[in-house]
Amino acid sequence: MTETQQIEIPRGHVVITTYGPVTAETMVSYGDMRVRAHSLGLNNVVWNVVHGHLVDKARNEAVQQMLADPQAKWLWFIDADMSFKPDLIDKMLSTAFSMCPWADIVGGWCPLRGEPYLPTIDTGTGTWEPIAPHDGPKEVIRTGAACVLVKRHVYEKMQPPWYGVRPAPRPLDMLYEFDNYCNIKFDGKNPFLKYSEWNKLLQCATDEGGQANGYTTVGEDSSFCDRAKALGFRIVVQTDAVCNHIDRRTITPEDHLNAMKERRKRIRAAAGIME
Amino acid sequence: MKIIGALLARDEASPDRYLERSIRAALDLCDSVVVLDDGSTDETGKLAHDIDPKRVKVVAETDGAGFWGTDESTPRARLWELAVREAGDDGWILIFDADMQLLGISRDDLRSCCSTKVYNSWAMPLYDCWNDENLHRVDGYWIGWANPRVWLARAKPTPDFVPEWDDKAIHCGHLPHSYPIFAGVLPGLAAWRHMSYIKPEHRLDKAKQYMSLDKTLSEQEMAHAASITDLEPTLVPIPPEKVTRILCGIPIRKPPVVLNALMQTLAWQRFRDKVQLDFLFVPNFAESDPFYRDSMALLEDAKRDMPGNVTISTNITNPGNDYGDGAISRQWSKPAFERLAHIKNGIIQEALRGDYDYLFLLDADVFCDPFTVQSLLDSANHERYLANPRFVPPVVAGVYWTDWQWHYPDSTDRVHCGPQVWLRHPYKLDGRGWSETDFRNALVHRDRVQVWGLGACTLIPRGSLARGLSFDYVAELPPGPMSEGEDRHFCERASRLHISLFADAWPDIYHAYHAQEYDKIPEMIARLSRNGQKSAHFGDLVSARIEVLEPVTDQFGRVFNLEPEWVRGRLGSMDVLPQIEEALGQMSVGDSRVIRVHYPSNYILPQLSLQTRLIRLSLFDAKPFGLPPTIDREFFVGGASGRKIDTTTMTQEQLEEITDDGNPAD
Repeated sequence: MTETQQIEIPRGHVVITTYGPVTAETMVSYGDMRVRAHSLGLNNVVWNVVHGHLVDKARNEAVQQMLADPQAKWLWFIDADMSFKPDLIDKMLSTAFSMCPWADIVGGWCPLRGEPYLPTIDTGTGTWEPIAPHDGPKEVIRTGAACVLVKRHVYEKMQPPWYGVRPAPRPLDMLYEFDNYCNIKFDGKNPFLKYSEWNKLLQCATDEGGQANGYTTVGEDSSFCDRAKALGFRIVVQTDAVCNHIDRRTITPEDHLNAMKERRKRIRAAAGIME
Repeated sequence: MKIIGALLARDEASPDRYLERSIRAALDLCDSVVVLDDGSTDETGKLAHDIDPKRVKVVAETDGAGFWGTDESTPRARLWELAVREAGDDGWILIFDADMQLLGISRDDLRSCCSTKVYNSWAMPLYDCWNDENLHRVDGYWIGWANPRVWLARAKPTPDFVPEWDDKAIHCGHLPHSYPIFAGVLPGLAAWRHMSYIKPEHRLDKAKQYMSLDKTLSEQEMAHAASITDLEPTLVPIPPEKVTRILCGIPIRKPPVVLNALMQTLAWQRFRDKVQLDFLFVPNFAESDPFYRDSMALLEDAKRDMPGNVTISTNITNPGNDYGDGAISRQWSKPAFERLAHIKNGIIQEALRGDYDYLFLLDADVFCDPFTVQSLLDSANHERYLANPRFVPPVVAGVYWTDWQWHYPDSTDRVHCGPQVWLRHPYKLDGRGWSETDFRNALVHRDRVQVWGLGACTLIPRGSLARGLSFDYVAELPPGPMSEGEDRHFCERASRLHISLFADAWPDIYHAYHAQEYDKIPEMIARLSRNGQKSAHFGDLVSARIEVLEPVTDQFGRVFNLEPEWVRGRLGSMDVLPQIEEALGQMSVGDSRVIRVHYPSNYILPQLSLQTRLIRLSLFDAKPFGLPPTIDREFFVGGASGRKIDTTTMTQEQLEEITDDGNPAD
C-alpha cells in the first residue's frame, strides 16, 4: 500500500457496529485488515466493536466515543455482516485523504442482499444504481453505512442523534420496503403476493399516496446521508473498495454482475433474442 | 376478424370539409365503415354512401334535429351498437370523426395489432393540425399529440360486457364509460391527423359552436374552446413531416489530402427520413502549418460544393498553441486538451443557438460510410424522438478502430488496434460486467452497446446539450493516465447528468490517425463507398430493432413492458426466434412490420413458453458481410466457414500454425 504510506493519515476509529452477533467472516477480515494496518505503520487507529439496540443506537454510541477522542478525525463504520480483503483500508484511506480529500464521507462498494445485489450507490436517481465495482470514486447523494468513513467535522456540525430512522413520506414506501425485504429474504419471491389482501393493501397505500403516517421509515443510513447533503457535505463511494455481504451465503460483486447479465439476457430473450 | 370504422357525422358534405377524405382513409384500413348521420341537413349521408356503396353503411337518425349539443350519448350508443353488430364478437371498432385521418400504420400492421391476445384496445396520439395539414398545435390545452387516447377497441371486451354512456351534451366519450380499457399504444408514428382546425373559418365556427354550449362545458373545456382564437399558437410540423436538423461540427487542422476525403464522406451521407445536415468547420491551424493556405481554400470551396449550409467559424477562438503533436502517437498535454475542449464547447453553443435537433461532432481524420449518421439516428431511437420531442435520446458514437501507436516495420512489439469507446476510465475495455474479449467481440459483431466513454464521431441530441452536457472540465476527477482528455470530462459529465452513452458499431468508419496512413486514404474511401441495399440476402449483415408491443411477465409473475432492443448479425445465423429472421429476410430496408412471434415450449424463458407476442420489427440497414476497417487486420476469417478468429486472444505461435505466416490479413 504505497499510496497510503506516502500520505499522512490522521488518527481515526474503525468500528464494527451491530445489534446482533458479528459474523466469523467479518471478524477474520477485520483481523487481517488490522494486521495489515500495523504492517503499514498505521498505529494511530482505534479498533472497536460497538453493540446496540438497534443499529442506530450502536452508531450513535460509536460517534460519541470518537468525538470523545480529541485526536480522532474520522470514524469508519463496518457492518457485522461484511467481508473484505485487507487492502480495503488502503482504498478507503487513500480515497479519503489523498484521491478525494474534499470528500466529507467516503463509502465502499457494498452489495445488497437481494437480487440483483445492487451496490448502495445513488448518484442522484433516487434509487440504488447498477454501478459495477472497480470503477474509481463516484460522487453520490446517498450510500449505505455498511462500510462508510465519516470525517469528524460532519458530526460536529450535525445535531445528535446523528443516526435514526425517520418517517417515510408515504405508506406506499413502507410496502415497497416490505416487498424489498421479502425479496431479499425469499430469493426474490415475496410470499405475500399470492394473497388478495396484498393487493388491497397496495390499493389503500396508493389511494392514500400523499399522506404520511407514523408507521413508515427511512433507514438510518439513508437518513444520515440526506442530512449530511442538506448541510452541504459531499459523499463519495470508492467502487474499488469492495465488500462482500454475508447472508446465508457470501454475496460478492460477481453475484451482482452475473445478476445484471442474467437480467439483460432475460430481457433480450423476451424480445426473441437468444444469446 | 373484422375491423369496422365507426363515424358519427352531421352536416359534413360541404366541399371544404373532410368527410370523403376521412372515410376513404378509414376504408384503407378497415373492412367496412358504419356512418351514423346525426340529423344532417345537407348531403352527408349520400356523399358517404357513394364513396363505396358496398363497404360504407349509412344509417340516418330520423328526428331531423340531431343530437350534438343536447345529448351526444344517444347517438354514440346507437353508433356503438351498429358497429358491434357489423364487427361481430371477435371484431374491432375504429372510432373516428369526419375530420380525422389515421397516419403512420399500414392495413396489415393494424390487423396484426388487432390480433392481440393481451390488450382489448389501442390508443394513439392526435395532431390538431393548424393552418396547414402538416403543422399541428402543441401549446396549452392542445396536448393530444402527447397523450394517446383509445380510438380502436375490441367490440366485445368481455362476454358479458354491457355498454354504458355518460349522459352529456357533448364530449361524452367515444367509448362506453363502462369499457374495461386495457390499452396498448399503436407503434411507430401511428397517429390521427385532426383537420377541422386547419382553416381559420372552420376554427371560428368551432369556437362559436362551443361558446353556444357554455353552460354545459366544464371550466377546462371552456378554456380549451377559448384558446381556439389565440393569435399566436405554437405550431410545429407533424412528426412524419418534420425535418430533422443536424449540425455537423468539426475542428479542422488537416492537410488537403485528408480534407478532400472528409468532404467526400460528409457529402455522401444518406438518410431515410427528412434530414437537413449543416456543417460548421472550425479552423484550428497553427500558423506554421505548411498546408494552412491550401486547406483553408478547400474549406472555402466546401461552402459552394457541399450539400447543406456550410459555416466556417470565425467566432470560436483557438486559445493556446499546443496541438499534441508526436512522432509515434499524440503527445497530449493539458493545454492541448483544453484547446480542443474550448473549440468543441464553441460548437455546442452554435448548435444550441441554431436550435438543431442533434449535434454530430466529428474529428477531421474520421471518414464515415454513407449510412453512418442514419445508423447513429437509428441507434439513438430517433423515431421515438420524432413521435415525442420530450424524449431525450442517448448520446451515440460510431465506433472505429485505430492503431493508436504507429507500428514501425522493424519493431517487434505487437500492438493491437483499439476502439475509441470504453467502459471505464481511462480507456479501459473491461468492467461494467464485461471482459475485454467480450466487449471487443460485441463491437466487432457491430452491436449497439452501452459504454461509459466515447468521442470523435458522436451524435449528441439537443436535449442532452440543454441539460448542460459540455466539454467543460469536471473538477476533482481522480488523476490517471490521459485524465485530462476532454472526452473523459464530457463522458463524466454525461454520467453525472444521467445521460446514457451508446456505441454503435454498425457503420464502417476509417480513422487516418497517422500521417503514414494518408497513402491508404483513396483505397479506404473506395471501400467505404457503397450503395444501399434494398433488402437483406442470406448471409448479409443486418441491423434491426425489435419492439415488443405487449407486456411480458417475468419469472416471478410481474408484468412489465420492454424497451426496444437492437439486434445485428448475419441473416441466416442470427440468435433470434426464427419468425423474426424470416420476416427480416422478407422486408425492405427502412420498413417496419408488426408480426406475431411464438415462443416454443422449450424456450429459455419458461414463463413465455407456448405464448405469442406482437412485435414490431424495423429493418434499418443491410450490407454484405465484412469486418470493420483496421480491426479486420487482426482477424483470421476461415475461407470455407466464414468463422472469425480474434488473433488478440492467441499467441503468435498459435497464429502461425493457423495462418502459415502468422499474418491474419493474408
